Amino acid sequence: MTEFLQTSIFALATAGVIAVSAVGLTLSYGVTRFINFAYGEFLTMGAFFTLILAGAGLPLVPAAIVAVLLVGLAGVLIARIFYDPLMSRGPFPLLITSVGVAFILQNLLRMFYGSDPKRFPVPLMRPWHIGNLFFPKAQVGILLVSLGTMLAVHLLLRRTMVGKMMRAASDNEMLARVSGVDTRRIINITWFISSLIAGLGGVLLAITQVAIQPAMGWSFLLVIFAATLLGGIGRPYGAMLGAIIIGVGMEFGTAYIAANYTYAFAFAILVVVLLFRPQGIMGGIT
Amino acid sequence: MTVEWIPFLTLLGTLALIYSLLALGLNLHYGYTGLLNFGHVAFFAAGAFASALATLPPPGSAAYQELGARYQIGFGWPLPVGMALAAVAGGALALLIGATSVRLTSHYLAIATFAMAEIFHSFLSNEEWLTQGVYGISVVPQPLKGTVIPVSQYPYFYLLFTAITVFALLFLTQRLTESPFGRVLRGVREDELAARSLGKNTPRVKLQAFTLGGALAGIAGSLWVHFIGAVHVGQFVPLITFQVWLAVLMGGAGNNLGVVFGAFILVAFRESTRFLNNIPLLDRFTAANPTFVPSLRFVIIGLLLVAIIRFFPDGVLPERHRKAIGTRQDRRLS
Amino acid sequence: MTIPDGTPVLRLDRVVKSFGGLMAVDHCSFDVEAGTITGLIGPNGAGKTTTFNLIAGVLAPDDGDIRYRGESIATLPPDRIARRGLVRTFQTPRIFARMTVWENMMFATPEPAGEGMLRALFRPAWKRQEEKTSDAARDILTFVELEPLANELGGSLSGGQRKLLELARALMLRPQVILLDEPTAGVSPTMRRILIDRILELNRTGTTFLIIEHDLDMIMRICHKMIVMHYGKPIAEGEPQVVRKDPRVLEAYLGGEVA
Repeated sequence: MTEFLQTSIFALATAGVIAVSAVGLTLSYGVTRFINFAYGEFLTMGAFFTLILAGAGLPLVPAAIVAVLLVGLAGVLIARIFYDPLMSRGPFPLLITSVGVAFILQNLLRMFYGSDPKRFPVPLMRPWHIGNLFFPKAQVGILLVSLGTMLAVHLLLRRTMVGKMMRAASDNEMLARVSGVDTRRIINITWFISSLIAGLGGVLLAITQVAIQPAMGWSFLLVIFAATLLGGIGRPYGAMLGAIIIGVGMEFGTAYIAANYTYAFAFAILVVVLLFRPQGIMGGIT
Repeated sequence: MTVEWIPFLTLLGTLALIYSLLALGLNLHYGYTGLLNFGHVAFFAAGAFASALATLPPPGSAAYQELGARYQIGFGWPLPVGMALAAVAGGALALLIGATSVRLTSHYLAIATFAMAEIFHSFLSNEEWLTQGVYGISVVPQPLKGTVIPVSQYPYFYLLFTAITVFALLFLTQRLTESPFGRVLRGVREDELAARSLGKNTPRVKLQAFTLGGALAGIAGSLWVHFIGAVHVGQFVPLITFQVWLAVLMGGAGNNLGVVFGAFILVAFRESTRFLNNIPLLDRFTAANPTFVPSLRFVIIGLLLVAIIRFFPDGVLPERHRKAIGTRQDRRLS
Repeated sequence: MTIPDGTPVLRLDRVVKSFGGLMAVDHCSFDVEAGTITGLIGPNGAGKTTTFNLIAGVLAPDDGDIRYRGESIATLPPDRIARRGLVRTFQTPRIFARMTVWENMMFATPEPAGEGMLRALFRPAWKRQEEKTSDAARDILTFVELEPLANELGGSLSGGQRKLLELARALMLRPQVILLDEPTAGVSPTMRRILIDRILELNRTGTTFLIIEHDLDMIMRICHKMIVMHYGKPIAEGEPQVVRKDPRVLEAYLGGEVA
C-alpha cells in the first residue's frame, strides 16, 4: 500500500510535466492543424536557455522565467520563417518541415554546447515526510507549477478575448475568419503561448526527470504525443486528462511491470489509442 | 592532409547503395502508396539483427571460441540465408506494424509508425539475450574475407557484391511498380476511397506495399551489418529514417531511379562533411569542439529537408507520367 | 426506349443510420427497378449522400438491409460491391490527380491480371490483357469525348471533364447499376449536354441509374421514377409528373430550402 501511494506521488509529478507539455502542443494543433515534430525542441530550448542564463549569474527562477519567454518568441519566429509559407499546402509538407526544424534546432544546440548531460544547479532538498511516505520538494513544486499552468490556460481560454478567439479558430477556422477574427494575430499568439508552455515543460522535465542535453525534448516527444492524442488532439482539457493517464501508466508500468520500458509504456498506450480510438477520449478535432 | 580517394569513394559507394535500398523501400511506401512511414529504421534494424544472428557461429562451437566474443544466439548459416532471413524479418515486422496501422490516415500513421519503431528499439535495447544490448556484437561475419578475398581487397569486393544485389532489387522493384500492381498502388496514394470504390481491396494492397518495402529495408540491414562487421542497437536511431526520407524527397518520390540518385546525393554530402575539418580557421574551432562537425552535418540535413519540401517538392527526377500504350492501329502497324 | 423490366435490382429495406444521435437515414425503404433511371431528390441534409454511402458500402447501416440482385450487400466493403457491378461516383469527383486520364481509366479495370504482386513481375502474363483494357479505355473515352485528353494529368481537367472522366472510369467496370451524385453540378452547358446524352444512351443499352440531383427540371426530364427524401426517408415516390404535384413534396421543399 505504501509503495502504491509512493508511486502515485511520483506519477502525479510526471503527469504534471506531461500535462504542461501536452497542453502546449494541443493548443498549437487547434489553430494550425498539423502535428509539430519540432515541438520537443522547444522543451529542450527552455531547459538550455534557463541553464545558460543561470550560468550567466541569474538566480534559477528568474532565469527560467526569462528563458520561457524567450522560447515563446523563438516559437513565433520559427513559425513565421518555416511554417507560415506552407500553411496552404496541406499537412504533409508541414510535417516534414517540422522534422527538419527539429534536426536544425537540436543540432545547433549540440554544435555549441555538446552532448554532455548537464543539470540545473538545484540544491539538494530534504523531502517532507508524512507517515511512511516522503514528498520530495522538487516533485511537489513541479506539481504546483503544473496545476498553476493548467489554471492559467483554463482562464486564458474561458475568460479572455484572445482565448475565445483561439477556441473559435480551433473549432472552425473559416467561420472564425469570416466573423472577423484576425487569424494572423491569433496564430502568432498561439505560437507564442504554445512555445512558451513547451519551454516551461522543458524546465520542469529537466528538474527531476532527465538530464539536460540536446536530445531531451526529442526523446520526450512521443510521450507528449501519447497524452495529446489520448485526450483527443486539439482539446486542451483532454490533454490534461491524457497526461494523467500516461504519467500514471508510465510510473506504474515501471514500478510493477518492467523498469526498462518506461517510455515504451507511453508509446504502447499511444499506439493502442491510435488503433482503437484515434479521436481520443474527448473527441479530437480533424 | 591528402585524401585516399579510392578507399573513400569505395566506402561512399557502398553506403550509398545501402541507402538506395532503404530509399527504394520507403519509396514503395510513400512514393507509390502514399503511406507516411516514420519508422523505417525498425525494418533496417530487424534485417541487420536477423542476418547477424543467422550467420554468427553457434555459441559453443570452435569458431565461437576463436572469436572470443560473447553472444547467445548464432546459427552459422551462409550469407544468402542471412539475407533471406533479413528480408523475412523486415517484411514480417512491417506486416505486423502494417496490419495494425495502415488503415490510419496521414499523420496518424506517421506517429504510429514512429512510435512502433521506438517500441521496437526499446525492445532491442532491453533484450540483451538477443542483441547484447548496448555492447552489441562486434564479430559479425564478413564472408570470404581473408580466405578467398584478401583483406586489403575486401572493400572492393563488397562494393561489387552490394552493387549487384541493389541493382537486381532495383530492377525487380521497377518491374513491380511499372505494372498494373504499381498502378493500383498509385491510385491508393492519390485517393484511397476512389480506389476502393473502383473495386480494389485497398487495405490488402497497402499491406502488401508496406511489407515489400519493409523487406527491402531488411535486406539493406543485412548488407549494412556485414559491411560494418558489427551490430548494436545504437546504430538504429530515428535519424536514419529521416535521412532516407530526405533521399526520397530529394531524388523524387514515385521514381525509383530518382530515389537511388537521392541516396547517392545524401551519402556523398554526408560523408564529404568530414572534410570540413580540413578547412583552415574552422579546424581550430572544431578541434576544441568535437561535436561541432557531426552536428553541423545534421543541421544541414535539416535545412535540406525544409528547403526540398518548400522549393523542390517533386525532387530532382520527378515522377514520370505514364503515356497511354498504342491503339489497335498502332499495334497492327508495328 | 426499351421498357424497363420492372424487377427491383436494388432494394433498401428499413435502412437506419445515425451519427451520434442524429438520424441521417431513418428506416428508409425504396426500390430501384432494373433498366430505369431513378432520381433521388430532397432538400439539403435529407440524407441522400448518406444513402449513397450506405449502398456503396462506405458506411454500414445500423439496422435494415440493402439487397442488390436479391443478395444482401449491407455488410460488404465498397470494393466487393463495386466488383459486383454496382459502381458510384462522388459529388466532388475523385479523380487520381497525378495520373493521366488514360491511367485513371486503366486503374478501374476489373481484370486482375498483373495486379497480383507476383504476376506483376512477369510482363508476358499481363501484357495482352493490358492492351485489351487499353482499347476498352480508349473506346469509352471516345464515347465521352475525352479521348484527345488521354495523356493529360487528371489534375489538369476542368470540373466538367472530371465529372465525365468519373463516369467513364466507372464504365470500365461494366456496371449494371451506377450511382451518380449530382452529375451536372458545376458543369458547363456543353459538357452537361454530353453527360445527359451519354447517361440516356447507356440507359437505353440496359444500365440502371440512381441519380442524386438538385437540378429538378433536368432530372424530371430524364428519369422514370423519382424518390423524394426528407429527414432521412422517402416521403414520396413515383412518376416525376405525379411527384411534382405531391403536397408533401411541395411542403418539404418550401418549408425547407427551395431547390
